[in-house]
Amino acid sequence: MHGRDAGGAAGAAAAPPRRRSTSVIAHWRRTGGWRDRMPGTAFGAALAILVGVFWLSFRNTERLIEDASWRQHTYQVIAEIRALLVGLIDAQAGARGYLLTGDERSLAPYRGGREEFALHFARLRALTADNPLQQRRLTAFEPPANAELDALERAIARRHEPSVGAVSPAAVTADRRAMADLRSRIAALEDEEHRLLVERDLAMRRSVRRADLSLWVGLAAGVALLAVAVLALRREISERRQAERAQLRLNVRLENANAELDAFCYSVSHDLRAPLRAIDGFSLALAEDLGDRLAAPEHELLARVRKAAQRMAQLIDDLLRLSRISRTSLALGSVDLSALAGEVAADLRTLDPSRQAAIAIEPAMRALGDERLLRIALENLLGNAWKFTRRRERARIEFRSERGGGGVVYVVRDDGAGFDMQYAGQLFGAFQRLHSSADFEGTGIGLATVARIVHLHGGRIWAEAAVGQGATLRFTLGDSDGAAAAEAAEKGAAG
Amino acid sequence: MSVDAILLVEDNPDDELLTLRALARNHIANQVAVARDGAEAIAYLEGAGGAALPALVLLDLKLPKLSGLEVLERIRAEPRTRRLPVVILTSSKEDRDLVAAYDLGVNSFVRKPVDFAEFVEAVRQLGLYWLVLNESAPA
Repeated sequence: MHGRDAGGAAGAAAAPPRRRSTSVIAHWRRTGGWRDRMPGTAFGAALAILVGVFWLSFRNTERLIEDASWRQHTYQVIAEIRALLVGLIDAQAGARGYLLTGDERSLAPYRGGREEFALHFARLRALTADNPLQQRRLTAFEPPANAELDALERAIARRHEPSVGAVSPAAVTADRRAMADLRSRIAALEDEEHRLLVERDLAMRRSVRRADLSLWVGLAAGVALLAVAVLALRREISERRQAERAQLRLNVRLENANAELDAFCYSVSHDLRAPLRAIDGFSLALAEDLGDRLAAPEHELLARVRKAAQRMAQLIDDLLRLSRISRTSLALGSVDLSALAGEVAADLRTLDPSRQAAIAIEPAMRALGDERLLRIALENLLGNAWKFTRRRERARIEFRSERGGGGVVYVVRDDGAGFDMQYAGQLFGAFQRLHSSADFEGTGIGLATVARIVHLHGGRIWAEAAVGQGATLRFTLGDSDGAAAAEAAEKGAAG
Repeated sequence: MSVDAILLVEDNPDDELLTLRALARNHIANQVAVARDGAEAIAYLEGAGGAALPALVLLDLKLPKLSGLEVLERIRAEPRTRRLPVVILTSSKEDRDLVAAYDLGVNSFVRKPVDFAEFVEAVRQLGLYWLVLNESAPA
């Protein structure tokens, strides 16, 4: 729907009158629209907060896992360092045993120790690849360790020769200093790892605290969001309830007002007509009974009294009809406007068969609307055209449709008396007449009734005219897709 | 030969006078009994004062004590009067009154025109139809 601004009521005939139904929606959009966007914004914010908290938790947990794996890594390095030392000691102890006893069996631990040493050294190299200090230490450790192992190997080779007997314990212990050096190097390697372990332990504890914290933050954010949502929901519910109660009160008041209006109309239609009947009836009685005793001008006076009474009765009837139409709810259906107009035209001809008037009705005009009300509208529109072309010898009245303004526009044109566009603004108000009663009879409610009916259908009505050149009334029924909807309804009924 | 009466149920003296005048102008010779509220109408129909059943009841809707519709309801509920021709002659033509009146079994519903000449014509046609043309059920 296109939002036109609020404004002019039934008047403004020169420009098409603005639409009331859409303006109400426009007003609602202006005042209440932001409320509709609010939940979206709030939802977005809540989602952002939850995603943020999740991301924080996720990252902290990742970091915790990483810290834990570094700690694990350090433990592994320490284990490797110890295994390296054990390998070295095994090799040395095995070699020493052989040198002292010449027992070949002692060579097994020696060989095993060497293998262990080589294996764990290689592993240490790989495991500490990220730590340049330890790499340098390993590099510095490698030549003396190899030298020591080579020395052991050479001593064992010498002990193999038959000429060589048991080696003196002093010779075996001669490399003690070298061994102590190697041990201290290994201790330094391990110390470094222990230092790292302490560091990584601390880092992990920090991570644990951070992860804990982010969990609490997440919990707090969730609870806060939930609280906000609950509060907002409760406010929304209470507002809605309030609105519902207000609506209910309004409905009751409207029902009361309608009932009152109903009673009022009933009383008007019944009680106001009774005195009018008396005025008319007794005036006629007087005229009849006095007969010749009254002169013609006096009869004329009585005739005027009667005419006034009858006119007032007509006014009352028209007003009641207008008021009833305003309170009608539409019974929508597909309406054959052409057929309806044809019936109305036939009625007009019956009332005055002597008239020479061509009434041209475009065939097959269909619209979505209330048939009863549209009949009343066409009765008034064609009736007006019929009335105001009375002075023409050969009048022409048209009822047709045209495309315009994004929809179907219905046109009722006559070549009758027309009117001055200066007064077009008054055309659709109740009791507004642009012609004297002497020229054309009428209560001035007809076009007001038509306007009401058109507005009830969500349409517009406007007029163009010039004095002595006829009048053209144009109206729409509902939105531009009214005709399409009517067609669709038609097809649905057919298929 | 005695002609059955017409019962006119009408509380407004002006309307009563106008209706009597319209009947007279149409040379309707039936005696006219006037009841000025619903209770009086029922009393008349129940035979108070030895009155016989009228040939036709002309009934207004807005009446003191008992409304026209209530009178109609009682006429139709009473075996003695249930086939009596009743014509509602009233000012308004509210849809709900029309529906209620026909539901209660009224024979005809006529709205009194303001133009007295039209009213005289309406009364002429009513008299012609209900008192001459139409054959009522035997009493």
